Formats: sequence, C-alpha cells, structure tokens
Amino acid sequence: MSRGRALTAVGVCILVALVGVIIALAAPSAPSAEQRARDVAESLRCPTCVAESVADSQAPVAIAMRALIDDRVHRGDSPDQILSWFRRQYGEGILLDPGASGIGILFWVIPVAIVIVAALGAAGRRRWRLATFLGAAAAALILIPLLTPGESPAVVAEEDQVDGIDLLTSAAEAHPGDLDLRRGLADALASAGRSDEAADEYAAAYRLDPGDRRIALDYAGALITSGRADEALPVLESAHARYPDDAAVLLLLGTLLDDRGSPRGDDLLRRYLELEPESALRDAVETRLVAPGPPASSGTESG
Amino acid sequence: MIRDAATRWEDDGLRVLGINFRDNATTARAFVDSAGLTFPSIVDADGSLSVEWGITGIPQSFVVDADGVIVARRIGPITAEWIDSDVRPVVVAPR
Repeated sequence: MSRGRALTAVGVCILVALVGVIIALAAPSAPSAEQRARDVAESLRCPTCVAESVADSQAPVAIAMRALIDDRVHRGDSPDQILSWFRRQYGEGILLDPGASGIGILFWVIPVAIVIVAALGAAGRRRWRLATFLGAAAAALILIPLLTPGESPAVVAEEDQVDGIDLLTSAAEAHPGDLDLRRGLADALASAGRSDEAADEYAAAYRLDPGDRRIALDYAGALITSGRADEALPVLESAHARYPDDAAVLLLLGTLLDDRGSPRGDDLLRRYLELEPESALRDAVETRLVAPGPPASSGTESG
Repeated sequence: MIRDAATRWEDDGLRVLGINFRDNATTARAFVDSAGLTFPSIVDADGSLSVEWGITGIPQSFVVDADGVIVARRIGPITAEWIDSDVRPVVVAPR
C-alpha cells in the first residue's frame, strides 16, 4: 500500500471514529433500571383488575408481578425478554396492547369472526331470531377492541386461517393447560365456521377458567350456532349467576329460555332492556316479549 | 375437600402442594394448622413463585399431570364437581 493510501485509510478510520463519538454523545442516555421496570409494568395488564396496568395496580398479584419484573431487570433481562416471559406464562392477553400480528391478531379478528359465524348460523339454520340475537351480543363484544385506539382489525386470508388452525391445534396439544392457546384455537375454528369443533375447544378453555365471562359467552355462542343450544343453557346460567347484570348474558339466556317458553326468559329480556335502553335490538326484544310463546318444540323451523 | 381428595387418591399418585401467596412463615403455619391441612405447604413471600405459575387471582388451583403439564386450573374455591371433572380423570386412569 502506498503512503498516500495508508494516510487516506487512517483518515477514514479517524472520521468514522469521530462520527461514532458524535452519535454516542448525541444519543439519549439509556433508561435507568427503574424506568425499564416501570415501562414493562405499564405494558402489562393486571390480571385481577379491570383495565389497569401492573404499574398502577395495588392488587397483590400486580405487586408480586412488579417484584418479579424488578428482579429480572436487575438480573439483566431486557424489557422484550421480560414481556416474552409474561406472554408465555399468561398468554397474549396479559399485554395491555396485544399486537395485530402473530397470535395477537386473534384479539382483533375474533370479534368480527363471531358476528360472521352468527350470520352464517342465521342463514344455515333458519333460526333467524336466535341468530340475530346472538349476533347482537357478539356485536357488543366487538366494541371493546374497536374502541381501543391505535390498532385496527386485520383480515386473514383463508389459507392463512387454515394454517393458523393447524398451528394452534399442535400448540394446544403440546400445552393442553394453556388457556390462551385453547381460546385462540376455539376462536379460529369458530371464525372458520367449524362451530362444533370450536364448541369443544371452548369447553376445554371453559374448564380451565369457568369464571371468564368472554369464554362463557363464546362457548355458549358456539354451542348455539352448532345446534347444541340445550348445552349452552347451563353455561349461560352459570355466567348469569356470576354476572347477573351482564347485558350479553341476559340477552342470550333470556332468548334461549324464551324460546323454550319459560317466563323467566321474559324477565331476563326485560332486565336486558332496563340495562340497555338504547339497544339497537330494543324493538326486536320488545316484539319478542309481546309475541305469544313459541311452540313447545324448538325444532320447529320456518322457511 | 382437597384434603379428602389428597387422602383418597394418594395411592393413585395424587400429590397436593399448597403455596401461600405473599405470606410469611408464621401466619402461613397458623393457617395450615387452623385448616387442618395435612399436605405440604410452602411460603411464597414475595409472590414471585405464584406469578411464575401464572396466577390470575386468589385462591387458584392447578392440576399438573404426570408429565408436568398444567392440564386444568380453577379460580376460586374448589368444588366437588371440579374435583370430579378435572382432577379425578388425571389421577385415576380409566378402567
């Protein structure tokens, strides 16, 4: 190498080093361990609270989670590593803002899929009144993710949906106690119109967490759309006992009981109207309330 | 109820372990004595062990199969129906 080239190379190296120093000086300082722990805690949902982060909650579980986060931060784990760990232990739902990709996409796609399944149920079974009501209940569920800012529902191609079901089936078989995998598989099956299989998977999720209102509603919905409304009754009764003023539960249970000629169905539907006076289904519910009871056999269908 | 199940299916391999969430040894021992628990219990003073199990409320029960996989969980008090539907099939092999 000539002396001129060597000097040029040295100059370039010095220049690169200077640029590096300037960039390092200009970059914001790394957040402290406390700030990193706080950021992680703010990204996690307190599992025993309503819409509260682990950072803000004083629930015992949240306090324990914060202690564990602090410990992991001080052990050198990155925020991503800690969040991944919590996702593995608790499922995607532990994140306050589940991403619209991977399994997180289910949190955005599922509510839309429920409505589609309800509509298919209406067309396929000619039980239009019941299916309409089911769709309305699902529409109520849809509002939660749609009103969450920053994300929008995504659309999954049919072939991806099938692959997703295969993937979720394998994962659920490998981890039979993982609630979110069970629920994810059930939701994917429901959105694919495989209501009967979805109901079985919801049953597994329901066994893991019978107190989860959403699972109970989805389970009951899958049972109804797969023609197993009788099996949905005890699920909805249990949900009603736990959440006596839940509008969606009142609507579904009231409709099922009303369909069977039970006067209690009317009571539940009236309670639904009290709680949801502005419901778009008000007219339909009132029509049902004043109409004479349906035939004793719920198998009678009209064209 | 869980104590009865532990005794009834001990020969079938059922092992019950209690975890005292965010408790100290003294009060945990007092609780174990007052409740007449005969299975072993451990103290999870800072709650980190319970979080590693993925608890979402207290009390919470987990059923772990022979392969170490959590196959069922229950939030809230244990019932005879839950033991029958979720614990018994794991412990007692179908005949």
